[in-house]
Amino acid sequence: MPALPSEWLRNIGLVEFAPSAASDIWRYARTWTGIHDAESSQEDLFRAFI
Amino acid sequence: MAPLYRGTLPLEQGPILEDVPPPDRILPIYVSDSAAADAVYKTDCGPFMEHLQKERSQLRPWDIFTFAGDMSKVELLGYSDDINVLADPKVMQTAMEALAERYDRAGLGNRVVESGLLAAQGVVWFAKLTLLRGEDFTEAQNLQFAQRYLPEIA
Repeated sequence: MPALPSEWLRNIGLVEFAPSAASDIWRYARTWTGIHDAESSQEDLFRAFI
Repeated sequence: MAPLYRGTLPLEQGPILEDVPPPDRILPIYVSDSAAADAVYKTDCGPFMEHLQKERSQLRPWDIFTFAGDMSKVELLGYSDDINVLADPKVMQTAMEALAERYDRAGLGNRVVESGLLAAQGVVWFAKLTLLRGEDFTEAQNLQFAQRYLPEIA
């Protein structure tokens, strides 16, 4: 399961991100939740749907 | 997704909002830098970090839906007392069918339902609810309405 729902939405072809939008969302989520790698557990996912 | 709704609205007295251009396309939904900024600032926890995971019993419509108008529609359908019921795919399907029927009656069947726009929203709503419940949010792509209206993701 992807760490971020937005990443999943992109993977399934439902959304397309501007390049900087995708990277900024990832950086934001990583900063606020402590997600540092793809092995993060479900508990690391935070409440925001981004 | 709200801008994708824009366009002429048919009424008995005649169409309104005729000067509002329809979207160039529906899917895939393009997320610009500006839209990403809106999401970061207006998402549940952004830009504060105090919002943590809730217990299931504490989940409310505003945890699932972005717009008050969608919360109101869900209330109209009778699902607002316990939003967790929508985590059942069958209940979610029923709710989506009810919304689709109302959009169709409003003359927006082609633009909102057949286009896949409503289904796309349903996928996001279901995914968010399951995420907040600690379940696999990717199951949203297997929902019946998603399979029907969003062949792109099937």
